[in-house]
Amino acid sequence: MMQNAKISTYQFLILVTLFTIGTSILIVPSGLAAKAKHDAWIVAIVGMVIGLVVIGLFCLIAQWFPHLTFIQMNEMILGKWLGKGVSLLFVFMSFIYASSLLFYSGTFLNTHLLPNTPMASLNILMAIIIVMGVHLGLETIARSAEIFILVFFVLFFFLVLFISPEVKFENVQPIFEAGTKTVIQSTFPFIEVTSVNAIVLLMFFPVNVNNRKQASKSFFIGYIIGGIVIIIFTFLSVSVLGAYSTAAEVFPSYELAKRINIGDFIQRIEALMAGLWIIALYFKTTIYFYASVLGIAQILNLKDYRPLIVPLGMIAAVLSLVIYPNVVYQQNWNQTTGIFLSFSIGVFLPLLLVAVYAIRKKQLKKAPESS
Amino acid sequence: MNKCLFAILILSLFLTGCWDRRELNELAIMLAMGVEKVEEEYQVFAQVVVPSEVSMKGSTGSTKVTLYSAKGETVYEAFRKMTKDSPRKIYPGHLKILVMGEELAKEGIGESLDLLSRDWEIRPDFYVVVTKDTSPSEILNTTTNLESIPANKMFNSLQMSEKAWSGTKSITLDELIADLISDGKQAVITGVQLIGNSKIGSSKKNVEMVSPAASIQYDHLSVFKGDKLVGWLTEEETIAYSYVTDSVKTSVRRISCPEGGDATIAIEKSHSDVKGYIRKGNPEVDITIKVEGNIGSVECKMDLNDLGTIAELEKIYEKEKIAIINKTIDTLQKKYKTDIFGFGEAIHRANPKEWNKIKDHWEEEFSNVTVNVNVDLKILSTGTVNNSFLEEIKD
Amino acid sequence: MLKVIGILLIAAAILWKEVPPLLEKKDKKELVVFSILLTIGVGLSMALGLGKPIPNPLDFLTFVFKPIHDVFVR
Repeated sequence: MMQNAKISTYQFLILVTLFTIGTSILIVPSGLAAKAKHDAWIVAIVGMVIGLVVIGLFCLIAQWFPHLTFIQMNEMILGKWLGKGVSLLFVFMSFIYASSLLFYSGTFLNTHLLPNTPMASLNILMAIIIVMGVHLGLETIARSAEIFILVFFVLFFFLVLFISPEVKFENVQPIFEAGTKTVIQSTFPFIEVTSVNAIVLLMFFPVNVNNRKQASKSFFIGYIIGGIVIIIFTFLSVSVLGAYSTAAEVFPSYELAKRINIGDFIQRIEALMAGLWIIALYFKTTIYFYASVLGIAQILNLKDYRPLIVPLGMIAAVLSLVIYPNVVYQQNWNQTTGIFLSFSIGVFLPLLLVAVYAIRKKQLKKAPESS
Repeated sequence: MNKCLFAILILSLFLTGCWDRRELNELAIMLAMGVEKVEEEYQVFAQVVVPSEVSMKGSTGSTKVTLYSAKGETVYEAFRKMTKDSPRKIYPGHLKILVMGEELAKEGIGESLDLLSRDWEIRPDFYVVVTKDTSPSEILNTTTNLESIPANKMFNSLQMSEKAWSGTKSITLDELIADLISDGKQAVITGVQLIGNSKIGSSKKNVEMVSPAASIQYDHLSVFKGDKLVGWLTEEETIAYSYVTDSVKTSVRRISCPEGGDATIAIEKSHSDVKGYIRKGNPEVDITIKVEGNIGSVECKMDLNDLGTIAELEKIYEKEKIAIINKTIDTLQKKYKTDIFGFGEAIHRANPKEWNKIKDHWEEEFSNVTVNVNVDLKILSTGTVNNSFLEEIKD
Repeated sequence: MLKVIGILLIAAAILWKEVPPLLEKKDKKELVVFSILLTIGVGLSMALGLGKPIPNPLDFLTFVFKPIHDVFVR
């Protein structure tokens, strides 16, 4: 059924990059600066390095059964019922995140660009294009990502170029004041959004990637590119806005775009720059949504996942309006519950799989041939 | 089917922005804003452009701006209440200058600034000034020459005087907020004064005169402790402040000639470096200011062809500058006890561990900081002539 | 009321678009799952449209993860 879709390793790399940047671009600088102050960018670097280990874990798991998605793998390794139970949690997580990302795009537009527009209409519009994307399939999503990544990096390049005169190095000094403990502590949210949640990529990696050997490599490269973009954003936010404002702003990177002023001529271009956030958010949400739709179809052993897209899109749009009563609840929830949810699905579950696989190795080796 | 879809897509272009559309003829563009405290309430002023007067055609010759005001218990409330008077909604996106009342500044400006950093329409790149011996209403009521929109006049003359004279300091909202929250730096805001008769100043008559009856002038620099105004610096002290904080672009400075009389040095470039460190448990600060300049005018007799004279002038300048800077720092250490130079931040950058120990009682520590000032002037040229013609005048 | 009619119209449009191919292929299971999800979707949107409170799934998660959170943070 859906195994037929094939994307190239390059397309996969782009999807990984966009997934890594996704929400992080909006919220990570603020979260990091709240704890690590002006050392936020160091935290981002450390977080990226640790994140590579997590990505390594995913690649390790993926290569055991290159023709199975994560859901099927759970069933294969943990047995039918336990596997289905765990998969259900996984699907639940990615579905919740899909609607929470819808909420992000809604609040972002609502706070900065369209304050009088009801959030419901913004979310529904976004949900419609996501549903369309998933309906057209993974190949179409990957191809459009290939086009939009160019737009993204052109905008990104100009943003960095135009904001660089505003950089004040005093704002990041003294370097490494936070100390090792604070740095390590504050990396967790960063690892969560950038790498741990990337477990949903296992829904089409390496199954739908045409060159499976190269795919792991592009997973790493894509992650590193995305990580560097976020490190640059964090550094710019702290050095231009200062640690306090970065932490106080809800969307510091947008504030960054507001500060652009080249000779009183190139200024007030933040609305254009908003394209950056919308592109990244769109692809991350689509991947989450794709993973949850495909996941449900596979748990229930359906032949086709397409009939489920529209009803689920409807539910996601409604949930996006309900799950977070306000921004403060969202920030609080992310810190207390979201991070544990992500870590148990994205780190604990893979480690469990590794342990069970090591025990059942011989038994499992025979299984694929017989099935 | 496809044609139909295409037609619908084209038609949908006309539907854009249903909720967030804002037509230009429904907006009153506010260029200057004033905030003042009157009997426990905020009074907010908005200087709004009158579009028909600014356009070339259809101008009836009345004033180009109009002033709305309203009172409220919070700034935001007062701001919205203005629509009781104004026929259009006040749009703050092009705000250029914010005028704070002196009384309000003495009580604390923090609360009134929150709205301005929170509202999505406002961009934090406008200048903030404080009135001295006058009120925001008087300042915003004054018509101006040359730049017919007073807010533009205020914006440009602040920018220009900072560039050419350095006796004022432009502070944007984001810089101000950064200073207010910093542990190791206190805020300053330029003062603004009304010179002349405010009654005539508010009418169009004011700009019909060659020398207006009332004019807006920047002078003095207000010094803050926390978010409260505690005093004013004189012009000379303001210039010294600009040198220390590295915000001098160009300036001129009178110095005394070796044998009496005056000369002027035109400063073309200045760079200051503030280094803090802890020596034997005591905070110390080194200020190194490197200045490049030309001889701007000579009003005394001396031989400029002599290398020694140049060196001598450089020495005199350096000595006088160091004295002024020391005096300014002394005023702040002894009289106001507030660290507007950011010495605390300099020490923080250099020695974060020690800084964490002293930052809670930095206010007292600041008064005892040893400051070593070092000024180095390089005179590059003598203008278009060498020796002054004064040399040749026989008396 | 307008909202309810709108939601029902949308639901009808979805049914009209999605159901015939499923019937044609005789995918009974898909049809059942599709109907259940669509019912939930329509139900939730109507509740939202009429301003009825909707239970927040995040509160459930908070309840589940609270003990773990407390162990780690303390």
